[in-house]
Amino acid sequence: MERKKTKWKQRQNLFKTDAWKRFRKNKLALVGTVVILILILAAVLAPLLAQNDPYVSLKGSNGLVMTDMSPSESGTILGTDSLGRDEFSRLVYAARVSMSVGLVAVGISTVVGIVLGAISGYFGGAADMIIMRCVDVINCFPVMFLIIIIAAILNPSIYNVMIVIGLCNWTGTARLVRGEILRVREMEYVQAAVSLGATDFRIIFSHIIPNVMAPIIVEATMQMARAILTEASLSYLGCGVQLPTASWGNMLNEANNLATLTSRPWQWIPAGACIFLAVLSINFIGDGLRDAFDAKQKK
Amino acid sequence: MGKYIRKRLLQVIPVVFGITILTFFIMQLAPGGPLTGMLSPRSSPEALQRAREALGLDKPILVQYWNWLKELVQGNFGYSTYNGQPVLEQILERLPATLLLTITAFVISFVVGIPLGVYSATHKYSKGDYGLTVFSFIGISIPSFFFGMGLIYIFALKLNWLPTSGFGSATFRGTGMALVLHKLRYLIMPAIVMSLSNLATVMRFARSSMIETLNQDYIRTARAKGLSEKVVIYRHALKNSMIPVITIFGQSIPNLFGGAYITEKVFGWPGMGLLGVDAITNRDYQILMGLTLFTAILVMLGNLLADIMYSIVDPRIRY
Repeated sequence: MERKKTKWKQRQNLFKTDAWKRFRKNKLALVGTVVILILILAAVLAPLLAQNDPYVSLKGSNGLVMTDMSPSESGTILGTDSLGRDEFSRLVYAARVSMSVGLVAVGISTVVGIVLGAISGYFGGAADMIIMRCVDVINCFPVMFLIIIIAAILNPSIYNVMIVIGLCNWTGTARLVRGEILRVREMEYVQAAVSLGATDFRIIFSHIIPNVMAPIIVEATMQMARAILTEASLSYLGCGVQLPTASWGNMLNEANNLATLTSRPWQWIPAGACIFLAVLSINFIGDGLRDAFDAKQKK
Repeated sequence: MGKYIRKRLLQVIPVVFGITILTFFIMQLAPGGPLTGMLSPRSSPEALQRAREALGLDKPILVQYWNWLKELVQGNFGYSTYNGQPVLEQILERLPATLLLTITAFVISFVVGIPLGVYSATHKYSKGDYGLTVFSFIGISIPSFFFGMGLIYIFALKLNWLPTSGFGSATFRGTGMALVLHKLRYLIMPAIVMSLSNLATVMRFARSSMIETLNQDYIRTARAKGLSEKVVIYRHALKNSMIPVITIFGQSIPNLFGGAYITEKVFGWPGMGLLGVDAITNRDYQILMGLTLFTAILVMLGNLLADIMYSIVDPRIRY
């Protein structure tokens, strides 16, 4: 009970911490935060924002399907696609898909990275050797190639995409956690916990990890940007999120022909711009967090 | 140095085993598994039966792995499940186009990235530095297919300056210089798209390396001696700050090859990436496996080369 109280107090003071003050001074990071909040809001409120069902072809007053219509012709915000579906509705529903893939994938890679990195750094020896050689091997594969071959072999589904991206991207976090653990392992507070007879598990997860959380959060943010980009690329190549489910990447895949490029910009520019904005904003946030947490590196 | 290189070469062995083991187990997930694809679909039923026994398809998995590895070492990457052609032959046929594109992108990213990074570092916190920082964020954030489509839209479709896709027109009859120039026009956009994110990374890295070097004592000494800023930066700082940039060489290689799938699809560039994109559509796992394995080995060799170069340039590096 006593412990919970202090935790609540710490959280209350988040906006008064030095880290927050430094983060607030970084204009790009603030812009990024606002853009991401807007995109998240759009994803959450998708059913309210979308005027039409994203999976149903719209029919005009003459009863014909409204294929490839520009915004003004169709009376929708962003026109319709080649099957007459509302582009804007697809865009906001795709925001849900693309961002949740990013979030889950990063969740997986961060957990795997923390656990393996912690084992590697804390226990050393053979475990460390094996895990670090695995990292070397995975780093030899262009991650895109690895992800593409697994995604192509498995049944392409949104869940497989999340898992594959997650399982191929943990090496950075693992290395980072390992390094941090090697750094703090000999510090007095860890030694104190050891001498009090705390178990290895307790030392790692309640004493060490909370103290190395800052770089892990920064890494996870940067990875989130990469995961969204990877999902978009996979879906663009046709082995990611499958139609009819819309994701920003497969909306660009559908539009990848010269006729669409030239005469129907509403079918590819908004989706591409969304990926770009989301990734750029998250990268700005990650950079802002890095500066905010790293008190040594003052500007 | 010889000792370092020997040690580094020895490290290659477990990594090669790791690469092949990982690929082998990924292929276990594919229908037919890794070994069936090793059999030529053109051979007679009896020959197939014999080959099956030789490969040990009924044997334990480790024996299968070993047989598969033996086939690989002999240059048998299997046969395409789609058209029955040997995989290695198809990859090698596409390799030159991909290498041309990758190497061009590699050169662009360093030749442009390093000077921009040095400029940024020497003009720290100026407007130019700020602009370049934003540019580098854009570079790592823009999806390459979107960037590529944008370039095609502007330079090929609207302005009509450059061809939209492919590598040379079938009707072009020029030779010599004319042919080179003709092909060059096809190379420009894909090479720019492929180099952008790497360029941004190189620039950031060169910037921070240069800033770190400029804080060194010997730079302060050089300035204290009254040397001009030009001499300090270009004679004393530049060379030393470029040493860590070599480490980026190794990292760039997988990133560039990884971009091949996307860039080659956008521009219809007849390289390994396009081969892979077609293999995805055709569910041709044998080709995908061959490509993955082949690039992994290329990347490993690239890293090896970068490490050895590094140890030659900077003799302080020891294991």
